[in-house]
Amino acid sequence: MLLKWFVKNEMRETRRSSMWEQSMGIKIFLGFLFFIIFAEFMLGSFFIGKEFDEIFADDDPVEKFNSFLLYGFALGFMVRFFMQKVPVLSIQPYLHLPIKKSKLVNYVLGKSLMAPFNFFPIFIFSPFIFFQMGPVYSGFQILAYVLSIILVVLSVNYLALLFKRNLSGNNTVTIVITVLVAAIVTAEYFEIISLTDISALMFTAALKNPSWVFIPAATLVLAYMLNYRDLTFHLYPEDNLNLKKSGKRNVSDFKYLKSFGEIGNLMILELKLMTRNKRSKSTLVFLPIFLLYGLIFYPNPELYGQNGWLLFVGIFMTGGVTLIYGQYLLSWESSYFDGILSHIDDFNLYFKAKHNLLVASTLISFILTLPYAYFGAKILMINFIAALFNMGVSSVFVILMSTNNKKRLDLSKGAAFNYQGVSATQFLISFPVMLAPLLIYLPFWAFGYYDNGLYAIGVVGLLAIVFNKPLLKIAVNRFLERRYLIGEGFRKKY
Amino acid sequence: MIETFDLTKKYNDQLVLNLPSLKINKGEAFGLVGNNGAGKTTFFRLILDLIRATSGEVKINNENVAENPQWKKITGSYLDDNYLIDFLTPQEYFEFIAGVYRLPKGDLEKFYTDFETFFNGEILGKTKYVRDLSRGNQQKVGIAAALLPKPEILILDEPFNGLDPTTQIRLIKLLNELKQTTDTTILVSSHDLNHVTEVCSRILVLDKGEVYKDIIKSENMLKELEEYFAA
Repeated sequence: MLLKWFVKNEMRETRRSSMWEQSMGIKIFLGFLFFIIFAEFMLGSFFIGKEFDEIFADDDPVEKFNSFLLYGFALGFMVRFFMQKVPVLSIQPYLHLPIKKSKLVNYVLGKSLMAPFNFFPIFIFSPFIFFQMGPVYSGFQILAYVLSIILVVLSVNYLALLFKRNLSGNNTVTIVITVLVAAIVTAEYFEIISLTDISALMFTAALKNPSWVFIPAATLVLAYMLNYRDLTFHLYPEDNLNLKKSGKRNVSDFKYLKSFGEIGNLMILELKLMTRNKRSKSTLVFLPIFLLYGLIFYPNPELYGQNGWLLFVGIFMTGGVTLIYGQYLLSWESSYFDGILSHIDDFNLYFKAKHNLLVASTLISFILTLPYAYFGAKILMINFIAALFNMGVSSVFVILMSTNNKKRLDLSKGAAFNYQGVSATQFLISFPVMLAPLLIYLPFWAFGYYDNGLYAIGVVGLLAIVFNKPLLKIAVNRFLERRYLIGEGFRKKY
Repeated sequence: MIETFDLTKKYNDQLVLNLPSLKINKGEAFGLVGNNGAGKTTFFRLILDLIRATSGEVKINNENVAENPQWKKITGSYLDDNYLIDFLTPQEYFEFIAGVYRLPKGDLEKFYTDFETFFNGEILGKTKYVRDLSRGNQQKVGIAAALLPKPEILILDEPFNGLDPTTQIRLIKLLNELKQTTDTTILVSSHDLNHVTEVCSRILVLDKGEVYKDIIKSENMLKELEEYFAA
């Protein structure tokens, strides 16, 4: 049967992904990390489900819970819109075969049911239903409620897919959605309209009269049909590859860097890489959010006294690009790496160009964090020290670590929830960068020399900046040793 | 110019290339033919130091390619699309290559005029990125970029694959002109026996990684080759 083959091929693809090719120790560490996160999530929802009537003692627990649902589903929709994969490209190899289009479309739509997002609600709802609704409502009522929730979850699934397929890559839509959400939240806050009331009304209705299940059921059928129609019309690969219409592009070319000669030539290439590819762009988009990190910590007087925390925040804010972009430094170029290997004769220069850009990114981030001086001169000093450390130590360290990565990256795909080319070493990389300054600080802290500890970190950073040439040389030598391995890995296209 | 010494390459203990001693002279037009898996690309990758030799070495101008990168300045190559920086426009790509080879500015202008017919009006002056070009046009960009630095050694892997007939003929003409007017050492691999015999003065037949035949240009070269491949 066809379905059997589809599923079989799908499983093979997953199993043979190069993501699994990593050492046992790292696998265990990652498994442990995911387990912890999962366990925390489970415990959290269990606790909330059990204690809900005590947290909101004044209200009817079920009605209160339902009043949040609309927001919950809206959030789910947003998360899906940005993160869920549109499972279409995987059927490309079957398009020319004598298989009915309707079969392919149904398969693709059916496959989207397996998205992890569809299973999250189980963990969120189960404890609540068990502890809060079980004792009060009849089995039949609960059944109707559960059914309507499932139908809504699946409707959200298909609506998100529909929107994503037609609107993703369109920045205006993203902005409109963000503004809309902000407007609704504001309206709710000032009690102009109350979505929570509407939400409570909607979801409690199914409990009162099970025939209301009809509405989410109809929504689901409609969403599925819209998807079906849309996909049948757009089953050609070119429709899904987001090919831009050709014609005049507004090509930025960073020509002013030309005057720096050969190193400028390499830096121009890197900047074009960053700005013209979907994957790198969607990685860099998160960076402004990093810069807001300080807002969480600085207004909090308890944390303000703790240099360790402030330092951590400083490293994070000024080193965002270095950490996030730098960890893939070589992988970004994997699709044309044979060209790099056979053309570049001086790899010192090649890595120096990358280093320059990382240092520049830290400088720019530092300048952008200057307004935080509002919270005190101490913030300014700590961020300056963090910037020194990032410019000197983190930049070189990240370059050194990037030589570990030999997985090919597809630049045309988005970054969120895309683990292609990502190996566990990538997750591990940020630990040393975060911990090293604290380790320098620790002995000073133990003896009460708080400020001297901070200065020490700055001095280490400064020294690393002064001696960046020999330090970079270490990275270059390591790269030259590993160049065949890296080249071979990048040539593998799956 | 290019020499191999006890050169072998193994993948998982399977020998894919064994060239104990091969010498390619300056100015030679050297053709490499063989069926799939014969080791053609492997040989080119070893010359270009893209993979590590299991034993032995390749020397260009008496320098081991794996140890001294001097050869990169005098070598132009295009193996496959793993060379193409696809988010650049073709002209930006050429500018980048010119920058890497430290070519003076005038060279690029001259290159554009020289290659006008080869590009057939489809490459230059467009704002399309390389990734938006057709496969054939991408191939053209890669080949032209290999020729751009006026290399002493030119290495092209299956350059005729994917080109339209007109461009195939133009490429043959271009390579022959290069042969006559310069002292460029040309290394070309191909499945198309007609094309290699038209360009090359010496043809090496690889069979499962071993040299099967080393033919210097003669009247019945093509016939000899056809006999081997028919068998």
